[in-house]
Amino acid sequence: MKTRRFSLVLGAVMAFLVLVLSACGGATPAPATPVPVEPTATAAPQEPTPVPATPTEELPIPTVVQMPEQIAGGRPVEIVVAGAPPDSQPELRAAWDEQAARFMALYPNVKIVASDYRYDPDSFAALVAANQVPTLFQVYMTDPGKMVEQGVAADLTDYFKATGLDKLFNASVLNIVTVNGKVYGIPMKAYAMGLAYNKNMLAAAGFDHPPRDWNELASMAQALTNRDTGVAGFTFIFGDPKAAGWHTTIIAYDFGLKNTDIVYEENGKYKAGFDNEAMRNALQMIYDLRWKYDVLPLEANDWAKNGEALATGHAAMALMASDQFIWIRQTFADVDMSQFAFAPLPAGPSGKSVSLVGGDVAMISASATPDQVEAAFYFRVWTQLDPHEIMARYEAGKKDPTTVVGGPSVPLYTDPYQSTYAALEEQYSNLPVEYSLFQQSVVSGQTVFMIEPQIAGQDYYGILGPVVNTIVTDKNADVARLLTEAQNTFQTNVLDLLK
Amino acid sequence: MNLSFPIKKWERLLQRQKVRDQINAYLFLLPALGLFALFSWYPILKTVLYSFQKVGLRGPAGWVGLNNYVRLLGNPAFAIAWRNVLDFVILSIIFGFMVPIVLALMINEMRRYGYIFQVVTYLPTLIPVAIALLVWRFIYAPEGGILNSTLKAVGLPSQLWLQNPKLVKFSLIIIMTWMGAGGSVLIYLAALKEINVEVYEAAELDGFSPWQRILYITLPLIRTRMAIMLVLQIIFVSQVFTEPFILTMGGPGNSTLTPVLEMYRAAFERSDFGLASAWSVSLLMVLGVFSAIYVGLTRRSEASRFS
Repeated sequence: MKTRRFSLVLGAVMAFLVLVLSACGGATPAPATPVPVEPTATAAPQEPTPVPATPTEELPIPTVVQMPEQIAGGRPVEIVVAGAPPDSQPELRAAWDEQAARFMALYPNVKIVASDYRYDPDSFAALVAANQVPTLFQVYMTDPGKMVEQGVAADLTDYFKATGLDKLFNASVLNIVTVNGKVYGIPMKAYAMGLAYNKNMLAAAGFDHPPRDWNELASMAQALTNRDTGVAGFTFIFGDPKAAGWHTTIIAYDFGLKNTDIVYEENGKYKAGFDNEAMRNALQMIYDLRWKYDVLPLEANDWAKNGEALATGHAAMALMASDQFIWIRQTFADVDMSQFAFAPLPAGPSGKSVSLVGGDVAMISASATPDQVEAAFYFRVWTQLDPHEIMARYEAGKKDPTTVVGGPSVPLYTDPYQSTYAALEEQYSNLPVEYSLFQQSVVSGQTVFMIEPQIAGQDYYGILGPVVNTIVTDKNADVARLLTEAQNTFQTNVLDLLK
Repeated sequence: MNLSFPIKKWERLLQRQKVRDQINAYLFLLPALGLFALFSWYPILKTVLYSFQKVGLRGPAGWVGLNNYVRLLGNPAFAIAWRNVLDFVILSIIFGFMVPIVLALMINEMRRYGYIFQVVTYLPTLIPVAIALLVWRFIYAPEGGILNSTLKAVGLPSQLWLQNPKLVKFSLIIIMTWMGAGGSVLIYLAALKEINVEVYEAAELDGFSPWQRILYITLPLIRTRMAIMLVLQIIFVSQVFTEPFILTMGGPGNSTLTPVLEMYRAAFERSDFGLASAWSVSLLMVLGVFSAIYVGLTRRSEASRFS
């Protein structure tokens, strides 16, 4: 019968579609399998693949690290290096492979295996369990501390001291990876928290400078908010609980909270103390921003949506990390970056503004052998600090439209190297974001850097986040009561049970 | 077996045949049993063991007895998450349970083009969840979203679908119903087609209206199937994770916090696998009860089919 056959055919087609689509829809990208990079030399030492043949003394940046004669005493050693560009970016990958080949030519006993794994908390746990963590991997944002806490990162203090890098890196940046005086990673990039804003929008509303304190921020944001066109005057992360707790803590730091208030030690026990006036004032300001001034975005947001709001013109000002401009440029290629600027956060009651330093860090797996640690350390340091490699990276970056150079950041190194490095970066900068205000504020000491809570920080953020979220979504929220409950929960459920 | 019992030759043969058949059956089952053991039973056992240990990224680091459970039960998030699950389940029963049944009944009534609607109701199941949720986020967007624009156009006030703690669970249930209806409709249609046409003919002869026919004949006949689907729905809704994770991140002030979401956060944001395992075990216990009910109902439904 015709209908029966039709039903059969329809059923078969639908079954096929279901199988195909459910297979595609459900697949999660697996960490890429390492692909060995073929060294260009096997027998006789060969010239490294093309690099400007300028003698090192004539390069605009000095050598600051003496590379060793031999790595691992000449013994064969193999390391897996994560972060290689995927095959979908062949030019970048070719440049990466060439760089690895140059290193292998310098040290023929070292074999570098490329892996295009990009750090991601979900898959990282699986890699650790399977003991397949790449020897050299990168970690972003607030996670370096977590890596150290979990015992996944190798201790590099001795190497830092031997090469003098402990003096080369900026102390506040090295702080991110130092625990109990030991250094566990190599900072690659550092960012600071501040106020990113859209110069054009501010100018259109008649403002020629960013807000200098929080009351001014509130009134400026009121003038800048336009619900009909979907523009929020000010945004910060209040959706994703952990990130919300992080941003709120930064605002509270600005209002006078200290990281030693959050958790302190008393009689050998940990006590929580963030239920204080500074935090209450910060939360009250957030409440007012939402319910009194009505300047915040309405939708729950996370790190990506927060940056997206500024990038797409849905927010005039944003509490943001300085390196998110690079992400904006890479994600929203048509956005005109010259309309943005970066300023310090509005000053708190003390008259100073506060910033938090974070960074991308290269770490070495704790389960690597000492030879592997040595090879990975020197490879990373060489790619980051060898003058020829620095120039090669800038030259390669000029040709690639997705490479972004420049933008506001925290000084990675100390002077005099930092000035030379910054001047060089300025020459190749393709990110026209204005951040002179931020820099001046840092240099003059008007902006003070603080560090994140060191004990049970993740749990603390996870408990504070929902408080902020409630304040922003419930008009009848009792700020003081919510804060007290949060501190009690943190005390009884986390600190008291810390093992 | 009591081998001293005198067995005649043909009985012995029969015994061997039965054993040989059973061996074949077990051999066929072995790969499936192996996979289940490796990917289901072993992880479940490991999870229960982990819930009594301190487990970080590097694996178990010592036994902590009931410390994880103390932390689990002492955390206000535990009560909040399970209360949210209860709310979700009740909302899904009120707003989501009858929808597939009604759709199946309507499709069953159609004489010629029922299969078109069958395909249409099934289409949402084919869309990858993350993409569907992106579209729904746009529908629910407070400013400029499809739903609010439509409401404004007819003069009704726009709502904060995902930002109002009182509305957000309902909004998520709508999405889950939309996505799950297709599969349930197929199952109900199969059940409806099993009903003997003669029963309907007898009812028509007795002067039953279509509405009475559905109420007094159709529904009672698929009653056990409905109960099974209800239990499955409860089990499924209790594990809701994707919608809160992608759309509301735990919701305005924890109002869409669910056990699986908390489990994910404990495991992958705080690397606290011991606590996540404790969450798992709590989920296992609650859902185990419903699974037992499900198995009991399925057995009863199978038995009634042969009676």
